[in-house]
Formats: sequence, structure tokens, C-alpha cells
Amino acid sequence: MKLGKGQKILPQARGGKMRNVAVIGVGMTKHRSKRRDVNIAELVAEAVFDLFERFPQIPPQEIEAVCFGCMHTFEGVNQPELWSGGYIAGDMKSFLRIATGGTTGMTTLHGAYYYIASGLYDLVLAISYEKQSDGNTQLGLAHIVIPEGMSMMQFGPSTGMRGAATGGSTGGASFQAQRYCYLSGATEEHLAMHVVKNRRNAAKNPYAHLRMPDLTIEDVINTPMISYPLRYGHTCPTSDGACAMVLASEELAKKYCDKPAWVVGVASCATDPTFNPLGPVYTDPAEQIACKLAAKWAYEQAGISDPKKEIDYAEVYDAFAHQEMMWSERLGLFDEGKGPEMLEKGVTQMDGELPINASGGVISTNAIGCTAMVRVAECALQIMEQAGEHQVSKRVKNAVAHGWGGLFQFVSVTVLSESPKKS
Amino acid sequence: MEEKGITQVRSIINPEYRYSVGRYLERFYQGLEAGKIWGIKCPRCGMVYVPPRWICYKCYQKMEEWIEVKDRGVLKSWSQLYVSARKNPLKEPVLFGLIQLDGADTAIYGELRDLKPEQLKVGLRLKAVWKKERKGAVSDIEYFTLEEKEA
Repeated sequence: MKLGKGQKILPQARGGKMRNVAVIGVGMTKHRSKRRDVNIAELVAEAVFDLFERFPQIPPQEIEAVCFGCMHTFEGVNQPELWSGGYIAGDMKSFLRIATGGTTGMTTLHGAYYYIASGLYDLVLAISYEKQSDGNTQLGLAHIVIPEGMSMMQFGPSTGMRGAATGGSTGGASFQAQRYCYLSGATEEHLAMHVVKNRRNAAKNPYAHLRMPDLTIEDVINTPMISYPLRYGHTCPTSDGACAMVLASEELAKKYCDKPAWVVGVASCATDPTFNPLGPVYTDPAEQIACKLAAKWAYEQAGISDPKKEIDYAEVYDAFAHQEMMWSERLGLFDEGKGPEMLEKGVTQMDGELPINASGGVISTNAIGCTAMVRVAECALQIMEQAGEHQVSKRVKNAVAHGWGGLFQFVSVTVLSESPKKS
Repeated sequence: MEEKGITQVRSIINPEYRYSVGRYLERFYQGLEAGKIWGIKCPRCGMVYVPPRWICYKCYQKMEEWIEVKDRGVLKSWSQLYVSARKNPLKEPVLFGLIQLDGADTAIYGELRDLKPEQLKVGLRLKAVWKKERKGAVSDIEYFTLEEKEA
């Protein structure tokens, strides 16, 4: 990457005297396209009940604080605690609402991590949801993109919003997809191969949305084009769903959980917009400096010096078919340009050397506000050996979860481990 | 007043949402259409919620015991409104009350008619006046008025 004059890449956060934090419980709703039978608060409650039913040793009344995340504007719900406080064991408890676009779920989880690592609380519930059938996702995206674009327009020339954004976010992502295919040599077959791998994985995950055990490469290639090179078959669904996680201090983690998943590295990073329909595009949409830096900081915190060797499992934000290959390279799991080859060789399959998105990933399930939290939740379940039918064959000691959002340039990373950080 | 030389860009977004009410409110609305007001009782603390909801916010308990409450109750608080939501003066000021129905532990809002502000006090007995043609909405209760008037 080209640095500006005087610009420098900062080292890892100093950390100070942070306490160890573990994931001790995970719950989710079954993701579907339209959950008309429940309202927003009831949908969220389903995930929280699922957590306490799957991990009955955690007492809901002992939860001290709640972090809550959902997308701004998608359903117009800006203060979710007003609806949901009592539905999530959150009444009369310390409450923090977080919204950071596509990475909301992971930032919410980071909020819960900070609560405990700082010593403020010992047992914290993190929840995120999206109920896209009640709102209007494209309008929500416009609500985020248009005001940003309008403000930026005052600093730069207009290149025409409508032309670049056909098919909503797919239109914007198509530039990234085309650029990634150019850089890596990925073909249409690779894009389809990724979709087939993950939607077949999803068939083994009862919480996933698009579960397609018999999907073929031809099926994907035969779907209509949205914005070249992305077809309908190359994009994530719009899902209704919620995810809940309980995080605990070292003492309580040992009390309430036999095999917790320890959170050992957290970072987020934003760079200049890579998709700015009303102003200049500053960076290469497939370069993803924000992802490289967030990963670098999170690995440094975790004490991981060679992610290629030390990471056993990854959950990445593959909202579009090229992205799992792209993120796995940017997260340092493969050399740059090796994504397509690794996919071809089956390295990223459930029984491969580095399984990625055994849950089915975002290409199978995307309730946007909670999607990035689901990435962490799935990594935790693999470490805790609680993933059920989609548990990978290898033992998972270290896992990396990745969330993506903003105007294509905001990335969050969480590193989890089977053992706590040594102080 | 706009300052000369500073350009503004207008960005107009009209949101439209369709909120699912869920099974509990659905039954509540169906009740209103039939002229009934349904509440729900917490199995642990006994609190009766009107309108009904799935979870007791105090006890974090699922609730399933449906209770029909009366269409009359007591005034908890009230106000007289002079300005519309669009900030225009109303032709006639309107009275609104916060009413706890008999059998419920929560209160609902409703318009008050055939009452003068000087008659209003906390604890006043009120009754609901239903619309003749109901459609399963909160507006099926047209307004509240003095209970004794009818008696």
C-alpha cells in the first residue's frame, strides 16, 4: 500500500492491564426471509431464549449489562432497547446501543468485550438482530449512502449515483468483484464454486437461511445477472434473524462453562471510501487496507505471528461470491491471489486444512445487523465444539471472525482461542 | 435566512416501514374488533399487561394466561392539547388521558370527550365508548368519558 507523506501504520493497541474475556454462550433464531409471526422484540427474544436453553448453566438474572446492535434506518428502529429491554433479560441493567453499519454485530460484541476486559462487569449479554421484512433494506442503505454521498459531493465531482448503484449494494460490490477477479484470476466458476460450497454447508446448519444440499455450479451460473460479474446466485439473501452471546470474565467463565472460547484480539479499521458514487474513489475496492490493518492489530493482540499456520478456522463476511476468497487473502490466511486455488483444492471445505464458513457464511444467511456477530458466534461454537452437524473435522484452537461494512471500507476482526491470553 | 455563496444540497428520503405486530398484539386487535379488551398475566409476579406482550419485563417470563379486562377504569394523568402534531393551532383544544382499565396493571392513552378540564382529577372513573363499525385497531375505542354519565 502507498502511504501518504508523514503517514504511518500504528502498532497494536497497548492493552494495559486488560482482563481475559471468554464467550460462554451462543444463541440464534432460525433465519428466514419473512418472520411475519413475530414482532421485532419477539424475534430478538427468541435468540436470547435459545441461548439460555442451550447453555442452561448461565443464570439470566446474573447478567449485569447488555450491548445491543442493529442497523440504523433499516427498520427505522433507532432505540431498540425501548422495544426489547424486557424481552432480553435487560430490564434495569446497564445498557449500551451500538450501530456501525455492516459490522454492527461485531462492534456490539466488542462493546461487551470492553465492558469485561476493562473490569467494569463480569457477565455481559451482547445481542444483535435485523428484521428486514418489516423495513426496507434498499431504502435503509440509501438512507446511509445518500446523505454521506451528498455531503461528500460538496468536496468532489459527481460521477452519477444511479449508474453505479444498480441492484442496490450489488451494484457497488460489482466493481470490487471485477477488480478482485482481475487481481487473482478468479473466474465465474470460482464465484459459483464458493456459493455451492457455502450453501451446501448451510444445509447442515439449522439456523441458516438458504440451505441447499444439492446446489450445483451450473445452477448458480444460470441465474440472471444483476451487475457484471455478479448474478442473483452470487449475492446473499435478505434475512430476518437475531444472535445473542454471553461474555464472561475469567472467573465466571470457569464457573459457568467447561470449554469457553476466549476472545484474544479485537480491532476495527476504516479507510477512505472505496465506493463513493458522488465523489472520487480514493482506494482500490479490492485492496482492503482496513481489513489488513484490523487483522494485523487483532493478531498482534492475540500473539499470533503467522496466521497461515496458527489460524485453524475462519468465518468471513462473504455477502458476495468473490468475497470469501478476497477476505481470506486480506486476513493473511493465504498469500495474495491464492484464494481461487485454495477454493479449488478444497482447502476451505468443512474437512479441509483451513475450513472457512462451515456455517454457510453470509452468502447463505444475512440478517445484516447481526451477521458480523454470527461470524464470532460460529467461531466460538467451533472452539467450544458445539457447532453440531457443521462442526469441522479438525480441532479448532484459534479462529478468526471478520465483519465488513461502511462504504466498502470498514472492517472489524475478532480472534478467538481455546486458551486465555497469558498475562 | 440563507447565506449568500453557500451551496446546499437537498436530499429527500421518504421512509416506509411495515411492522409485524406479532401473535400477542394480533389477538389484542382481534379482541377489539369483537368489543373485548385482552390482557395477559405473568405467571410469576401476577402483573396484567394491557396491551398483551410475550415476556414479562420484570421477571423475564413467557406469559400465556389471557385475561379479559373491563372497558372502564381510572384516570392516572391527563393533558389538554392546543397544538397539532404539525405545529398548527387546533380549532378546539383536545383532552387526552392516561387510563388504567379495571383488571390491568398498565395504562393506555385515550381521548376524553364530554368532559371539562376542571372536572378532571387523578382517580376519576371513566368508560370507553366504542365505534359502531370496528376494524380491529386501537381506534376501535373512539374515546373515554365519565362512567357515571351512562348509569
